[in-house]
Amino acid sequence: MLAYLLRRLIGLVAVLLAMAFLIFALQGIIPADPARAIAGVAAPVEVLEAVRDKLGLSDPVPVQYGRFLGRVVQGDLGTSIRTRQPVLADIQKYLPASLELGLAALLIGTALAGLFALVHRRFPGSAVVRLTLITAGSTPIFLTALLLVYFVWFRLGWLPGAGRLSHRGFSGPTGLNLIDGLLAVRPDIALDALQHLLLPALAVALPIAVAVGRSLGASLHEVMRRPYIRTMRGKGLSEGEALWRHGLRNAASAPLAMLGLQIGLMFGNLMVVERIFAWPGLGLYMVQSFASADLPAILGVSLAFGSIYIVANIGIEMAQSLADPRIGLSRSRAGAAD
Amino acid sequence: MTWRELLRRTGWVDGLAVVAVLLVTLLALAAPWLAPFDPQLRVAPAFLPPSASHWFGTDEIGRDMFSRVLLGVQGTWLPALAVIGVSMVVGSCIGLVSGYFGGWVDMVLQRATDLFLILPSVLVALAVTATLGPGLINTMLALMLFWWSWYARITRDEVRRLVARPHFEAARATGIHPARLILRHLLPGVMPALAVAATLDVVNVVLIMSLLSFLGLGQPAPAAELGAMTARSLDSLVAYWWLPVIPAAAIMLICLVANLAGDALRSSLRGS
Repeated sequence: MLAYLLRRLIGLVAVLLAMAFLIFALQGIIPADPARAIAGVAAPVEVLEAVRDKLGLSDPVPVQYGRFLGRVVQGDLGTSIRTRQPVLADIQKYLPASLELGLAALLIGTALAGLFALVHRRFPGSAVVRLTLITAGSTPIFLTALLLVYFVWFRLGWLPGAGRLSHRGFSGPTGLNLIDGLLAVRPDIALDALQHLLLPALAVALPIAVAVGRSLGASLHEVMRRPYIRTMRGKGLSEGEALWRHGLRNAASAPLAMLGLQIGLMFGNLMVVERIFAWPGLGLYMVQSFASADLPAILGVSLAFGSIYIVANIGIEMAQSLADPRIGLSRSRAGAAD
Repeated sequence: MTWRELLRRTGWVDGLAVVAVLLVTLLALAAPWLAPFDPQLRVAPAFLPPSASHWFGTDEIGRDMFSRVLLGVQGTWLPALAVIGVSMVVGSCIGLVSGYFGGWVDMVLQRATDLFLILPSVLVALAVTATLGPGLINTMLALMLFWWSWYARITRDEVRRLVARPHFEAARATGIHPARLILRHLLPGVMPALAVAATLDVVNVVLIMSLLSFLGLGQPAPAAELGAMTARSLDSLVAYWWLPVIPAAAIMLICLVANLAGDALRSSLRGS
């Protein structure tokens, strides 16, 4: 177990290094010019050079890469060109909002995936179910988000369409408003946070639910036809019991892998949804950094998201081996370091 | 399985989906001639709702939305096909070499493929495009940079399977040149699996490219790009819903058609 975790950790570092290197290697080919962005379009060459020197942009690329790696190890991700704050401080400031949204989306997505899989099992081979899932899988995330905003917020007025809370000035220890509201015994705040959270979380959750639900449905379909399940039915277990106690564990591996893949795709969706719902998280921060070619911020957030992705996937591999012990922890299947 | 068998096994609904994909491609190719108005010029008052003369209404400058969406379809579909095409060629070359030679060549190439496969694709595409600077070419480059790995893996696995078959053993025994062996006796066997993967994969590329475009990493302002058109008219949602919704719906239609065609191909292949 320890050896396994250690190997995964090496894999984590390898992927992060590869990501950082990829971006740095390309930076040398066509540099976007943040010095120009700071100094202004009309700035004379001397000012531009001074800004460049100050930012360390005039050094050779390998030097910049080495310096960057050295700093990252110490937790220093550089200074954002746009906000002029340390990137790490910016990340700490905006991460809780994204964490809240992402976790809520994963929760809703997993629940919906189960529902989709059950519907899939109830109506096997149904063209309507198949078409619905394919349509949902073809919908760009911003269309989902826009339709939710338009109908649920604007037309029906059921839920708020922007922001995290109706009133400013509340903050708690975790930064996750829903949990902080509960911790502070402020049901009004918790309810308000929940109402703001529902729509964006649903938008982020839908692609996850569709992909994982399809995978789970197909996987269950295959497992529930196996002889051992027939034996369970034969000894008098109800269909539900056979599924929950014996089928699910064997069917869990592929949908869990799909969940891991979807977490990787979720980061892009978080950016879009946070932009549409004015959700002040890391995704919105990233979108604003794109607009100003703020490379330190873009790199920092990418590495942060990349780390979350890999930690989540280690968790998923452990869940896979818990569900099905035959997937040996010693014999991992994907990974750079293996 | 040959292409003719594949075609015969495909039902008419699935055939329809394949025809629809071809139609989208034709539409994308002919967009500049089909567009009723110049997509970059003010041709009517701004914010006209959809009508007979302007099917999708007009935008905030008074440009014809139908023409712009048509151009947007071109700018989404053709680059996506190009990304898939290049990734398929590069990936299958690597996969063929890796699978054919085996041994340490296979080991090295597969470890490299692994590395690219486990990178979180959207995240890397975003970071790379942002680093290179916004633009269509950079978006495509950022995607191609690691998109080949998926095709390399598929090809390699298929090749390993084929190499073990007697017909390949017989072909090798005749002593023909390895290049001919690979092109005539391995590549055709790999093609169906690649074709299915590619048709389903186009959807992923279209969705990721429009996501990048929405986030402002696509072509700069005046260009008609579906994702960016939605992003720029977000504020118009309440007053002029068609401005952000129609371009996004066009992306959905493209993906739906491609998904159905891919699904059809896959299920007809699985029938074998």
